[in-house]
Amino acid sequence: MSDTTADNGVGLDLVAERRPSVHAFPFGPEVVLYEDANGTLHHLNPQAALVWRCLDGSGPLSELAADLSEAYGVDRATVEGDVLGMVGHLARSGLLSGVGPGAEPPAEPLSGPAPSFLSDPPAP
Amino acid sequence: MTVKATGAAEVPSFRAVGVTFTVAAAHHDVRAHLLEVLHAFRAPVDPARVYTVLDRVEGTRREFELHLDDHHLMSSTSASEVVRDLVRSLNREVVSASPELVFLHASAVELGGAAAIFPASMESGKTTLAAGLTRAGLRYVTDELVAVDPAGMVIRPYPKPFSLDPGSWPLFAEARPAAPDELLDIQWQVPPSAFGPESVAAECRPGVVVFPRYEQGVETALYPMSPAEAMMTLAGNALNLRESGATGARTLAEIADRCPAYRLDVGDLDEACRLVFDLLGVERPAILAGDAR
Repeated sequence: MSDTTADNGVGLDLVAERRPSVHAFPFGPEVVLYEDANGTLHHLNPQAALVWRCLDGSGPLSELAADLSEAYGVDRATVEGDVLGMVGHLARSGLLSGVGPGAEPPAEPLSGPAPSFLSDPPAP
Repeated sequence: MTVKATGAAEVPSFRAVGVTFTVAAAHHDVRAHLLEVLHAFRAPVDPARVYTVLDRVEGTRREFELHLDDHHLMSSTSASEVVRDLVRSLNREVVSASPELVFLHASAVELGGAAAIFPASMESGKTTLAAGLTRAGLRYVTDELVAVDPAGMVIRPYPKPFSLDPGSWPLFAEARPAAPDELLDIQWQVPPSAFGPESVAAECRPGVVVFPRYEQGVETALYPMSPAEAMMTLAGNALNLRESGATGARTLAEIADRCPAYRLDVGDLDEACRLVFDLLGVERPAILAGDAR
């Protein structure tokens, strides 16, 4: 089992949901997010985009990690770590409802590069 | 000290996207130059804004003052600097006057109703590339601001004069404006008509997006970009994305989704122009027929 220590309130028991003010623009497997509240954009690679699409508030992250682990045949602890990392970043960027520093400055500059761990595939 | 104000009978009127304006200048050469370089904006409109260039002479010292309506914008002893700053002011006014449009910091040319858009930061060679392509036969949209109307995804041309810095002057010696040296010593303002009478585009649609980057000696080459990369890079060159909000983001997403996107390293202007012609799928004109590689 991976570390479930809260990161901005993100743990495996979190039921995460996309913030309604975030607009998602899909480009094949990738997604670009635009946060209307602060005018920032975020480039999600296919792995991060997959997690993003699943954050519909219907279940805890532990369930999402279990589903992804089963679907992709990847060790569950590894997937849990990746999901927590991705969701933690989304939360810190103010892209999720009810978690993260919604009123804090954006984590990413408008034209800055995508965060490195979102640009890299999850560890095998 | 004497202050000369305009006494000209004719009041020229111009329209630049959503800005209507006129220009008054007491100094004959300044006035003539401005009328020439702004000619593509001439329109029979009732101008809402007034640019005034005052000409102050004290002994042997001449100083120009640039005003927009009642606001003093700058003073300089350089006529070239005054003209440059008038054009820069117009750029800002165009953006602020049309919040319904999405503005990209980009140059663009057009062929067959489709625009090749070149978003880039300053000193990336976007003006030089647009001038080279206009000289080669494409129609000029802008060298600074691509104005996209989200309603219909139409580009509104902003055919300001090409603002050519000294590094580009040898490439366009034939386009040097016929104005006194004092109007040209900082930056050339070259009207699009310098490259032909039919050189200005009408409204057009986004066709292809190319992000140029000039670097002396670099191999001139195109590199494809993914649509998501293109959208992020477009956003980095959007001037009013925060103000245009989700509509602006959606507009950029549509451009990124519809248009092939490339990064263009530019070491040689003619070769860069050849690559753009190839991208547009049209035969290279004779002026670019050679192969520099």
